[in-house]
Amino acid sequence: MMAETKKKTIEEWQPYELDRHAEELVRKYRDKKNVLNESHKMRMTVAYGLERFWGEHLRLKPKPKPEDKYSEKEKIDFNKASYWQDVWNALGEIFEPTNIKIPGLNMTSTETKDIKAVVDDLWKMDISDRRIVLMVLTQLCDALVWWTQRYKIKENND
Amino acid sequence: MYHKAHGIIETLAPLHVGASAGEETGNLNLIFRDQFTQTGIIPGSSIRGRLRADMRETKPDRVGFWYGKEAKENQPNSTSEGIIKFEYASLLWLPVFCPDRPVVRVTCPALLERYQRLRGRQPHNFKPYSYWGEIDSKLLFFNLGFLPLKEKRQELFDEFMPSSVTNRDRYLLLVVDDKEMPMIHDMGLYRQSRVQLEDHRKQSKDKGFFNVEALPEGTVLVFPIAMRNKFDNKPVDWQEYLKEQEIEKEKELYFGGLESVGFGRTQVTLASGDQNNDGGN
Repeated sequence: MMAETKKKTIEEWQPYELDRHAEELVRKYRDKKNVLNESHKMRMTVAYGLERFWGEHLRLKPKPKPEDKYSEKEKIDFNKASYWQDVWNALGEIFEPTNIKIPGLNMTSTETKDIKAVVDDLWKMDISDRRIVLMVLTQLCDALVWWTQRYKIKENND
Repeated sequence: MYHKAHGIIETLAPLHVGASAGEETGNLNLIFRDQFTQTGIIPGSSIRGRLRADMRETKPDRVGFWYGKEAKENQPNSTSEGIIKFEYASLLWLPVFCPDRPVVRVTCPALLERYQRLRGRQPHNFKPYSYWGEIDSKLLFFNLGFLPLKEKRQELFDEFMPSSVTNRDRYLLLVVDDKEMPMIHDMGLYRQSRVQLEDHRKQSKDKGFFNVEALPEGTVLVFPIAMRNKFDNKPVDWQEYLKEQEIEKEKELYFGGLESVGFGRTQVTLASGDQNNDGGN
């Protein structure tokens, strides 16, 4: 998902392209069962800060095993977790041209040491960078909710 | 021929001067905008109307002299030209939310140029992303995008931030490109959904729901004033007008709609000719 862009010097106003990211993400999970309701939960979770937003995908992630061994519920949870992670990665893409680094991008591991590395980076983030990233994440979640309300398929969501 | 002056308006509450009653836009009540910069304005007629109404309260017999006599029925030639003329107020500084500051005052070259013109000064060229204030990063992040900060320009504050503005040195000043101004302006507007309830039930009335936008608190606008130097071959005195209008220094005035629910309060300061209302010295 990460764009292969070179660091360019910023010469003018740069939009975050929140709707492009949000539309793409919502469309990606549109046909999956019971995933899009997470958009609303994401919008609520931003109130609790970056760390909790990032941590949420770990709650949802089932134990790693071959995909055909997953129960119906585990499959749904797996998709939910991927959705949360994809949103986090989109945030990484948005900030890619800037000097703000988003920790924990494209992380698949659930090992304690890997988790610790990401969380350490989160704590190390500059307070003003955190404020900025949280603001943008909030706006991105607003956009996700908007597209969810347009794209949601009733039969797929309880 | 004319005595030139200008006024500075600082909003002390959100300000809504409407462009329509909402018929064209469903339930969204837009503010009146200038067609080129797409930024909020207060029409000259609103400014004149407010001042004239104030004078009606205090000096009703002088209203005709300063603002022109109204037509009387069946009396040809009963109207007269007003002595005081107002043009529309345009934006000079718009406060915009910025996550890490939390306010940046934004303007663009077209708006700065009008301020120069109405003070009879030479054009002064600012490039986009010029700024004034202390920064700790060369990138500035807003809600919907970010931009680079380029040249630090002291005169942006000295010459373009009127001395009457509250906390004039508190926030970063920023010039953006004319073509970006409409988008950043719309990002900075105050928006509210309003609902009218039924009289005896806490339930929304039919058609009683609408959204309103307004210029936020802390917006600075400027408007030109012209006064005829002579009337009936007698000289007219600017100071006399200020006295009769009771606006010798500054005055709290209400503009636009929704006054009863806390919109429209402003502080207006007048300055004469190219007199400096921009302090700094």
